[in-house]
Amino acid sequence: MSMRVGDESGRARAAALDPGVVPADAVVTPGDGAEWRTAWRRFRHHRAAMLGLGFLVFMVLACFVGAKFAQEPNLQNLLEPTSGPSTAHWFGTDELSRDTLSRVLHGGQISLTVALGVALLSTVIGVVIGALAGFYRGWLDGLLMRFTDLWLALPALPFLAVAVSIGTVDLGPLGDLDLGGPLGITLLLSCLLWGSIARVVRGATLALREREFVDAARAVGASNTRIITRHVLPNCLGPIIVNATLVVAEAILVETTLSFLGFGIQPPTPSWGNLLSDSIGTVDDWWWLTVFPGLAIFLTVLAVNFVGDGLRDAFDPRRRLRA
Amino acid sequence: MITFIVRRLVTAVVVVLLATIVVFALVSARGDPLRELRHRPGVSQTTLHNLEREYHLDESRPRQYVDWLGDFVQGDWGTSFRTERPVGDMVGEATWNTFLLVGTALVLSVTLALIIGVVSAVRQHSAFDYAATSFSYFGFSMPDFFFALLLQLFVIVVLQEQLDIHVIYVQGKYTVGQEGDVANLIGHMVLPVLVLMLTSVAAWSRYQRDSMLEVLHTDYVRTARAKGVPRRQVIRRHALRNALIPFVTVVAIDAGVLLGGVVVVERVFSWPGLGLLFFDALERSDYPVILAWMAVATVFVVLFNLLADILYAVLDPRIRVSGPSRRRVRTA
Repeated sequence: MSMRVGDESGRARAAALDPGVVPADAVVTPGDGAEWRTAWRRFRHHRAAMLGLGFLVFMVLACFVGAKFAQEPNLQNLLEPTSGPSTAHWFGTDELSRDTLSRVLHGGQISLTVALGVALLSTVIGVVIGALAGFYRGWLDGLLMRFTDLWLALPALPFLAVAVSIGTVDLGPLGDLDLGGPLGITLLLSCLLWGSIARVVRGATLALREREFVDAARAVGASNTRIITRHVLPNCLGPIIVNATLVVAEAILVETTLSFLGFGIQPPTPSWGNLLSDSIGTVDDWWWLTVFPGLAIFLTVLAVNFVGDGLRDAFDPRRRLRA
Repeated sequence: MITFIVRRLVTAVVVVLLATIVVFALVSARGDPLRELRHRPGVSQTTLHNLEREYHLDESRPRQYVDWLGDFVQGDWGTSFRTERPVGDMVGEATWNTFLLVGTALVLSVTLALIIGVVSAVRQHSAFDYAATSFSYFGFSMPDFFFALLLQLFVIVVLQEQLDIHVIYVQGKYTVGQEGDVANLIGHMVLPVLVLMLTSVAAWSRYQRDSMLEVLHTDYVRTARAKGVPRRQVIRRHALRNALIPFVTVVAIDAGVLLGGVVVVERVFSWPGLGLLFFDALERSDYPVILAWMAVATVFVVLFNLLADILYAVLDPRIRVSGPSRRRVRTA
C-alpha cells in the first residue's frame, strides 16, 4: 500500500515510512532475468497498477504526440471571447483566448519531463550516498546520514522558492543556468529529493554486505567497487525502482506547487502548475481554467502512485500478505 | 535519559547553525539586497548608507554572516523594506495566525487519523478499510492548491450562489467590519484547515493502520488473547499503546514540515500568517524578512525533530539503551 506522500512535507513522511529493505531471502541470482519475469507477472495482476500504467501511457502520448495536432499554446484567438468548453476548444479558452487543452498538453511536456529528470537524477545521488554509507559504515555512515537528516528536515518549498529566485547563475565554461527554467528546476528538485532513496539503499546495503555471496566475492579478490556495483546494488534494484517511481509523483507535486506560486516555471511557458496561478481569487469566473489543469495533475499523480504500489507488491510480495 | 537529551540538544544546535549557513548563503546568492531600494524614488544616499551599515553589507560575506547571526540571536531582526515595521513584530503576528490554523488542523488531523487508522486495522479488509484506503490515495495525489481552489469553487458556486448560505468564507481572516467575531473567524478557518488536514490525515491514518497491524500480529498480543483478555481490552491496552509510539514521532516530525504547506494554503486563502508573509517578502525582495523567516522556519523544524526524538525515547525505553536514531528503527 502506498504510504508515501507527494507534497513537499512528504519528505519527512517518506523518512518515517520508507518502503522497507529487501528481505534477506528475496535475493536472487543476478543475470537470468527470472526475477523480472516474476515481478512483471505479479504486476500484471495488480489491477490499479495496470490502470495507472495505461493512464500514464495515454498521458505521455497526449502530451508529446497529441500536442502536435493541437493549437499553438500561445496563440491568442483575439476575435473570440474567453469561453467555456466547446467543440472547438474542448477545455475552453483563457483570458487571452488561448486554447486551454493545448496549454495543458504543452504544460504536461514540461511537468512530465522535469519529474522524470528529477527521478533519475535524485536516484543517482541517493544510490551513491546510500551505498557509500551502508557499505563503509563507521564515521562515513554517521556523517552522511546526519547530512541526510538535516536535508530531510529543511522545509523544502521555501528553500526551493528562494533558490529559484536567485535567477540565472554563471557556471563558467558550462554557460549560464537559469534556475527558474526547466533544467534549473530539475537540478534543484533533485538536490532536495534524494534523501529517501539514500535511506532505502543504505538499509539494503547494510543487510546485503553481510551475505555469503559478498564474502565469496571478497574471497576471490573482488574490489569494493566491484562488490558494490555487481553484487550489492543489483540486489536492491526493486526498492530503488519503487522509490524512483514515488519520487516522480513527489516531483510533479512540488514542481506544480512552485510554478503555481509563481516561483517555478515562468509564463508564457506553460507548466501544469502555472496554468492555475491566475485562478487565485477568480476561481468562480472561469472554472474550466482551474478544473482541467488541476485534474491533469491529480490523475497523473494518482496513476504514478498506483504504479508505485503495484511495483512494491511485485518486488516484495510478502509485504502484501502482511499488510 | 538526561545524557540522551543533552546529546540530542547539542546535535540540534549544530544542525541549526549549519542550516543558518545554508539559509544565509542562499539568500545572499540572490544578489544585492538593496537593489530594489536603490531604484526606489525618494530613497536618499544617506539612507542607503545607513542600511548598508545596519545589515553589515559593507563587510565580507563570512563577516556578514557572523554579524547577522549575532543580531538574530539578540532579537535584532531589522526593519522590513516593504512595510517599514520591525521584522520581529511582523513574524510574531504571523506566527500567531499560522499557529491558529496549524494548531487546529493538527488536533483534528491527529484525532481523525487515529480513529481511521485503528478501525481500519482492527477491521482489516472491511468496507471501511477499503474506503479509508481510497481516501488515502486521494489525499496523496491531490495537490494542495488544486484542492483549495476546488473548495473555493464549491463554496462560491454551490453554497453562496445556489443556496445563498454565507457562513463559510473563501478569503482572509475576518469579514471587514466583523473583526473579533468568533463565528466569523471560524467561518474563515474552515476551508484552510480542511486543506491542511487532507494530506496529514491521509498519511497519518495509513501510518497508524500499518503500525497497528504490526502490533496486532505480535506474540504478546496473541498471548493476551489466548489468556482470555477481552478483545477490546487487548486492542486498547496492548495494541494501541504500542502502536502509538511511532505515530507520535511521525506527527512531531510532520508538524514542523507543515510550515512549508502553509505557504500554499495562506496564499490561496489570503490568510495573514507566516506563509503569506514569506510569499510577499520573496515577491518584493524584502531582504530582512526573508532572512528572518527562513531562520525561524529552520529553528521550528529542528525543534519539532528534537521533540520527536525525545518523545520517542520517553515512550520507548529501548531507544535509550541501544541508541540508534529513531529513523533507523524500521517500521516494516
